Amino acid sequence: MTALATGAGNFAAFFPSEYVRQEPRVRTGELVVQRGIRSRLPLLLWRIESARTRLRATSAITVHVRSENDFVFAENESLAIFAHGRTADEALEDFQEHVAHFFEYYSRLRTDQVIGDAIRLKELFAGLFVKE
Amino acid sequence: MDRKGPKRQSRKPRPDKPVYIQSPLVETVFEIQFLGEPAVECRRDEFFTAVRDQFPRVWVPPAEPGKAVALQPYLFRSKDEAETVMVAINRFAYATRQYPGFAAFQSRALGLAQRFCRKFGIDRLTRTGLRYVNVIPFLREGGVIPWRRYFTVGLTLPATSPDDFINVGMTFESRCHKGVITTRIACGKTADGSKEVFLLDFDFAKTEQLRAKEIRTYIEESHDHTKRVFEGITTEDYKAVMRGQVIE
Repeated sequence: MTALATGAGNFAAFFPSEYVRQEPRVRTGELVVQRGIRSRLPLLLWRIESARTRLRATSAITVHVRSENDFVFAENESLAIFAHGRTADEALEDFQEHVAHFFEYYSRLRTDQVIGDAIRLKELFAGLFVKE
Repeated sequence: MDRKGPKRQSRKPRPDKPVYIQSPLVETVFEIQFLGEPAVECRRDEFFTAVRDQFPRVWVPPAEPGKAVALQPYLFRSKDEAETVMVAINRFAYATRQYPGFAAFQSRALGLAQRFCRKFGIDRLTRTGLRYVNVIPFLREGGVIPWRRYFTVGLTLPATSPDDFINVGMTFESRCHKGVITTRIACGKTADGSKEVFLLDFDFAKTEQLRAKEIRTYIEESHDHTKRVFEGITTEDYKAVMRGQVIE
């Protein structure tokens, strides 16, 4: 008596030989489209998760990630956030910590306590983020 | 007008005003296929001569065991390698990594395809395809792919398998009265490994009773339908991002 075999190797034995795979595939430009995925677009954040808080952004935030001298930087100019880390994940974590920190920092300040660009940032953080 | 007569217009059409300033489109291809025409192989140099001022770089196919050499395409690329023309015994394609808008793309692709067909006397086509390759970077939320932020399509799953996807790959073909559109959505990483991305690939194909003189109509129909699918498949949130409504 033959034992019932399992496993990928034995699966072939049960596979009909006349079976033709008909998986859908993209055919146009198969021989011409360039290999390697590239994107010049920044990353997007709709949600900030830090150790201290969770925030929901009412509009998407772009995060420009770049590497320089063994460090990875994650930046958003409008929010004046310039975070970094040894890896992209670390930099993005640091970015979210910065956002959470400044959200709380500007929330605590009264309007008469801010001057210059801090006025813009206080308004921006208050209008952009909602605590979850 | 000066004494030398009217200046020749630049062959590159003027770009359209882009609808999406943050478009994820990375490559666009228009391809025609036809029954094997040996003239393409014998007189490939004639076509190259006609386009060499715009596509001076020649890429030859590597010999691959078991594959007919005649079916391997030659590629002619622009100096900056952003544009490519592919010629083979049974197909022709124009691909570009710069998309200045549909009207400009159509004009460029049409001009090259018609020139190719005239040169080799190609009239009946077996397939036309218009492909748009989009790459959309994303950040996971709590380790999960933020699928619903980008796409309106999804799978209806039982409660035991929630749609908290950690990896996604799907391809589906749908028929409409003008052709068949293949849509591929998959997750991947950029070549440098810095970003996770969605690959959103559309391929609109026509295969029935095709004539070279109707290429303009085929490109238009393919584009119109693909655009509608793209608009339908992406969320309003992501469309706002593409229009530039983001905190930069």
